[in-house]
Amino acid sequence: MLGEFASLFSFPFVQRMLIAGLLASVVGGVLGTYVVINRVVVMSGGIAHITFGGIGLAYLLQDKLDWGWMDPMLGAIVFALASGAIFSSDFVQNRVRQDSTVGLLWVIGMAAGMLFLNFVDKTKITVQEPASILFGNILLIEPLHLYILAGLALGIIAIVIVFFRDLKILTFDEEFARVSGLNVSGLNLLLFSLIALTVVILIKVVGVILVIAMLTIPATIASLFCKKLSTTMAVAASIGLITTFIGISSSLIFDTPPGPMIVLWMGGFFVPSFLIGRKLG
Amino acid sequence: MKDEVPIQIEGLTAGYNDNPVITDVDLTVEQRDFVGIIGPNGGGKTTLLKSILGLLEPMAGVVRVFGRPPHETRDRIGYVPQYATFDEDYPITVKEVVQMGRRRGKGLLQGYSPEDEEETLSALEDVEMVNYSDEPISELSGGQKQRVFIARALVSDPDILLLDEPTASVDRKLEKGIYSLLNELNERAAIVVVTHDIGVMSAYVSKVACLSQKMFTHNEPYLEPDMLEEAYQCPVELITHAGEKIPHRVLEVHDHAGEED
Repeated sequence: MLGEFASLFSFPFVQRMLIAGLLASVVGGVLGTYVVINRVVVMSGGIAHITFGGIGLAYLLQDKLDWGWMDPMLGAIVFALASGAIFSSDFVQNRVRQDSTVGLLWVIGMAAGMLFLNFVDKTKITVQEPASILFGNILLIEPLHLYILAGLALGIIAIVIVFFRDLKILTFDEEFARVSGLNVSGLNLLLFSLIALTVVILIKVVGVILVIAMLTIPATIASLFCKKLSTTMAVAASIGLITTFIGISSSLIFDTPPGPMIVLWMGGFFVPSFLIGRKLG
Repeated sequence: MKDEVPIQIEGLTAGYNDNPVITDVDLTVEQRDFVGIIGPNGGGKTTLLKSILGLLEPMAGVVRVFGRPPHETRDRIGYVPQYATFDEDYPITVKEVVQMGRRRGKGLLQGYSPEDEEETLSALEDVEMVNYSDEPISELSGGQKQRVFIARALVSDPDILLLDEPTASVDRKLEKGIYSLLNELNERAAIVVVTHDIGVMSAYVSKVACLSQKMFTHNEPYLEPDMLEEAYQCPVELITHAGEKIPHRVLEVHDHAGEED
């Protein structure tokens, strides 16, 4: 039984799935910590759902304009970055309440995605099922996408390391950041762009709807035990790694989709942590 | 540099989206002054502080900090914001908070030096919080948090300390402790405190003014509770020396016209 299970890991698709899952856990833990302590969970959910519009549009452009290079992941990246910029913009925040902006873009993204997919000629273009976009398709991950994921993940972590001290001041006390001469709107835009790119990575693993889980559950668990930003990030990434590995393994054993399995394992880790962790200040 | 006037404000009108919150305000803060500015909520205290910090452009009038536009001299100001403005659950230790005060002018990858570390601990000693340096900020009491934020302002060795409601969330005993700490710090820096509650501050300040859209100052050498109430139209609470006259050097005569809340 164990040998049979271990032999599963020699399949290239299983290896790709694991590598993607592990990359996603690390960026998800690090950026998820910002998402959780900054209370932008719902906004991140908004970014995730808006990318559905980008994915639909990418397929439509492949079909109607013969843009074979227009990868759905590229469409997702463009839509995610655009929504991150909108959420962090003072211009929008001064005119519309932030949670209204989130709700609005959330549904427009979903509606646009469904309509775009509807117009794609399915006999010409192979389109992923909406269900697999929404709930993840890590089983189908291609080598090219794995390289893109790895590049994005490394880039995101490198930028976090470079801006770590300034982002800490910004996220702890924005007014003090301004008084200290930091470029507050620039840093906010940077942070939202990083969150947006992280969302795109996580979508490849758990799908649009379950992104919030990978972004928030490990970071929330970590914040129950850690008293520093850096340790919260490290613990969140580790919890992500462990639960993702267990989730993927159990989905192979029970032959289920991996995304929901990963999410439920994270939820399972959350309950006891919640009971023994410290209270909020 | 040393003989420049720390803060000089003349005819300042400032506010948001073309709506002035404060009009025609004059204020001079001299070296070693301990200025208390009281006023009702919405009276423009924060607007005044933002103008001094150079975060808000004046609509009219001039703000000079050490004789220069405030954004150029911001590094000589230690600013202690209202602590309600930041997230109490943030995972950060006392030492990390104070270190932020040493961040200015550093490159992106430049960490904190041994000197920064030393200054951080010495600022924490000044506010008697050095024993808590590795504690998470979320586990401190209101008064302790306030001391940490004073240390963060002190660590850059400022010539002016600007405090926004420093005692808003602490009890009377701690409030007194914070003011006597400020009184000590007044040896090295000019201090400006804005608050809606004059409380025990009155025993320590060298100048007092009231801000309610306009700056109201008085030429009486004494402050009395009913005088404050009547002349300044502010909700004022004087608890220190009930019935006694409190000696003060008060700012120059003001125009009572247009006095409103």
